[in-house]
This record gives sequence, C-alpha cells and structure tokens, in this order.
Amino acid sequence: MKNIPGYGRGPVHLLGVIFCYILAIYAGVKLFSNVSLWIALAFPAGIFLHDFVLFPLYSGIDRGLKHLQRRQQREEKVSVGWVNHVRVPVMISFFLLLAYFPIILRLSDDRYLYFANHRYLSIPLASGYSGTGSWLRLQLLCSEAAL
Amino acid sequence: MAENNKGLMRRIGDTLRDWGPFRRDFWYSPIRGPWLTSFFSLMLLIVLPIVFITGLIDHVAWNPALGGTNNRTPDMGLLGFLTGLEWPTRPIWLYRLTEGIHVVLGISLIPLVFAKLWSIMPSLYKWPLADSVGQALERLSILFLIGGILFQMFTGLLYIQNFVIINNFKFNQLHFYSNWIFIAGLVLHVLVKFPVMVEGLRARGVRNELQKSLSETEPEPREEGRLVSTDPAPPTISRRGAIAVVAGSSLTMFALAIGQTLGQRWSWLAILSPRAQSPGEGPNDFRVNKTAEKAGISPEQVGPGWRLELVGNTHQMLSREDLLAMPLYTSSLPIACLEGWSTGNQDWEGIRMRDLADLAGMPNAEKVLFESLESTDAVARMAFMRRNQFQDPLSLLALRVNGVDLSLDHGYPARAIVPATPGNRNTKWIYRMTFMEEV
Repeated sequence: MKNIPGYGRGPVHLLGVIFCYILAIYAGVKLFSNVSLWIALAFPAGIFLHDFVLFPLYSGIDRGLKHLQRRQQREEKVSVGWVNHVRVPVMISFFLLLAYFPIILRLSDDRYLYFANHRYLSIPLASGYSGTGSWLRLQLLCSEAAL
Repeated sequence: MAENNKGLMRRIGDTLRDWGPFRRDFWYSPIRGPWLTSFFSLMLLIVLPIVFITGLIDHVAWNPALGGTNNRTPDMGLLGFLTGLEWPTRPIWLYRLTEGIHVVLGISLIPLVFAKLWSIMPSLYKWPLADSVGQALERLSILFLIGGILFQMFTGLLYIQNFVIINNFKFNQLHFYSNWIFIAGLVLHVLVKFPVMVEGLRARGVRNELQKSLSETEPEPREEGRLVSTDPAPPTISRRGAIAVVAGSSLTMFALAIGQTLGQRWSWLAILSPRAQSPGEGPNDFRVNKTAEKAGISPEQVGPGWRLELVGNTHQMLSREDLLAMPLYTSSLPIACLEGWSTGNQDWEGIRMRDLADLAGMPNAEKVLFESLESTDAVARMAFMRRNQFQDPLSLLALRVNGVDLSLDHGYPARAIVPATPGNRNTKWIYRMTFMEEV
C-alpha cells in the first residue's frame, strides 16, 4: 500500500495508530485519575534494572559458563556440553521466584494468619521468621523438575 | 545555529550507534532471529486472547450494573460497554472454569512473555529510533504493549499473594484500566506485525525448524530488522531446545497453579499457591480466602444474639433457630474465588433465597443486598445479586455444609451461596438481606 507523504506508512497503519493512541490515552487517564502517577515510574525503573543491571549480570555469567564448557571440551575433560544443565534449572527457579517471591520470602500481608495453617510453608511462629525452609523446598522442587 | 544543532545531533547519533547495545555485534545469540520471535509471537497470540476474554468475563460476573461494590471501576465510562450484561447461574461451574483459566493461564504465560522479550531485545536498541513519524508512533506504542503486559502480570501476581496490592478496589482499577492500555498496544502491534510473523515462520517452516538438532542449528540469514546477530557465537542450544525450555518453564508454572483449582484431591500440587492452607476440620476442611479472624468477626456478633434482619415489604428479625425451622434444601456447589482458586462441590444446606424473597413479601424483587458483619474489607462487606441469581432454585442462604454447621471461617451463622457466582459475592457472616424492586 502507498505510504502517506510526511507519515511514512500506509493508511491502515495510520488508522491503527489513531485507534491505539485514543484507547491507550483514554484508559491511561482513567487509570491515573484513580491511582498515583508514581506507579508509572515502575516501568522505566524496571527497564533500567533489567537492561543495565540484571542483563549484564546474567549474560556475563552465561558467557563465562560457555567459555568454561568450551575449554573443558577442548581439553577433553568433558565430552558433552553441560551448560544447559545449569541454565534450565536456574531459569525455572528464577521464574518461580519472580512469580511467587512474596510467598517464598514471606512478605505477604498478614502472613501469619495465612501461613500458620499453610500445608507446606508453615513454620513454628515461636521460633521466629525464617525463609530458609521454603527456599530449600523451592530449590528441591526445581532440581526435581530439572531431573 | 541550525547547522550546528544538526551536527551535534549527528554526532550524538554516531556515538550512540557505536555504543554498547546499539552496536549490532553486541548481540551474539545464534538462534535469535525472525523465526524464533515469530514462533513465540504465535504462541502468545493463541494464549493472550483467552486470558483477555476470561478477564472480561470476571468483570461481567460481578454484575457491575447493580452498583455498590459490585462495580469496582465506577468511572470506567466507555470502557464499561459490557456492564449491562446479565451473568447466568448455569452451568454451576462456569465462574470456576473461566476464572481458573484466567489465573492459571496468566501465570503460565510468564516464561513465554519473557522469552519473547529476550528474543526481540536487540531491536529495542536501534538508532535512529525511527525512519518516519508513522514508525516513531508505532515504536512508542511498544511501551503500552510491554509496560501493559508486565503491569498486568505483576498486579495479578501481587494481588493473589496479598502483597502491596491488597485492596480489591485498587487492584481492579490497576488491572482493568492497564489491560486496556495493553490491548491498545497489542491491536496496533498485531496489525503491523502479523504479516511479518507469518513471513518469519514461513521462511524456515515450523516443522522443518523443529526437527533440527543442535549440530544442525545455524543462524538465520541477515534480515532487514536487527534480530539476527552480525557476529553469532557457536550455538549451545537448538531452537527447539530453547522452545522446550520455555515450554517446560510454562508447564512448571501451570502444574503449580492448576492444583488450586481442582479441589482437595489435587491441592498437594499447589505448593506455592497462596491459599494452600486448610482452614477447618472434617467437613469444613476446604479453602477460604479470608478467615473470621482476618475479617474481624468477634464471637459475640455470631453468638445466640445473632439475628438475620430480613427487609422487603416487611421487616423481620430471624434467629438461627427460626431459619433452621424453615424448609431446608441442599445444593451441591463449588466456591470459586477471584484469585483463581476453587473448591470441588460442597453440599450446602439452607433456605432457598427465593423463599426468603417470598417471606419478605417481595416475590417480584429485582435485586437483593447482602450485608456482612465483616469489618476489614469494604468490598466484601456488601454484595448485590440479580433476580436470576436469587431466584435460582439452587441459590441458598446456607446454614450448614457437608452435613455439619458452617464453621466460623466459612461464614457461620449464615452465608450466601449462588451457582456460578464469584466467591467474593457469596457474602459470609450475613446480618441483613434487603430485597429491592429496582435494579
């Protein structure tokens, strides 16, 4: 389809853009008239945290593991690649932690009321708070899943 | 002056182009490319509409047109186009199914969303940002898309775990309005990228690519976009391997989330689910969202002095003994929560709501208001139901469950139980029922 001069894309594209912006702005006005605009800061903060902290960290570690694997293969210490045996359980654990961190780290509101009777995560309240139990369970679960 | 500015902009552009992630050789994954991205996109395109529609169904299931706390987004304006719909009471497991799908699928697609984001990451770092006004607007709308989906996922996850977002009203405003921002971005994205996705899959074929092992995995040929690396590393995983890892992660999430929707027999699977606790003994041993302690119910409120205030054309105060002396019926119905968990069918015993409407002298009532003794949650303190709901022969003011009295956590002395209705609307610890003529 022919591009609209000065716009650089076709008419269907323009209609899509108009629809998109009207809906997004309408919903955005509703959203931010009910909740604080500060919440929108979570997004740039998330981008920064991921792209400039987490991403260099995990891609650096991944690169390191791959170099190690390649060196071991060259020196014929190992015959098959093992790097995915590390990546996969780490990734699954990461997703579980990302999704369920409030429960795993016991950050939830009124956690004692909720978790006092929790089948798996319950801990004696008298001994105070300790997240180790569920951490171990999570790791155990992930290793099982990986196997 | 203008000349100088132009020179400066170009210098900034040139510097950026050669800096970090803006450099094409910064990205080295040999499996990134249009095929992998298109594959993840196709999966998302299948799953996302299901999550979207089941989310809208929850909105309708609360009957927001009845007002009060049934409408958690009171000034939604044009976005309330579904508000007037009447939510049915059959099949009895309807809400259990739709809300279970919404929450379980929503949790399961988290790895898929992150895989897709990983696969397109190089294209987010592109300088110049756009070649035209049209492309600039389109690229800016990616903010709605990515921001929207992440916001949807995290508001949902935090809410079901009672972390930070613990207020039902606030949660719905966040989750409902940001959904529409996401959908705005998604519509434009699909409009522009659907042909690209089809082309990306066709170029290498789906079955063909899925048959390739690690040793047969090679980078895709250079494309117009920026997904394919100019300096690819040797592959350490095949494309099908990467897809299997994502699918495995999704299946793990799915397995851990589905346990909370299949009744007591499968609840051992819901290791990380927020409501894996067992609140009662024997026949009352099935899940609750909120215990009596959490709801601030004191023993005096529900002792022998408790009365049900029945308001309509007449005004009556009924004790539990009065209610137990009326004709009792049994309905086998599940409890299904907005948070996605549900129980199997429980045998509830109590008075038919339609009988109470007659007793109140309001057989033609259009809606009923339940008011609860609970003091900590403004949304659950009151609920409206429509005529089709309280006139249903299975709808009860329940006094007993599974052959014994309701436990305090399950709403003793009396609670509402209506087929296919969100758990939150099935008010517990009722002290007043008011039948009204107008919707």
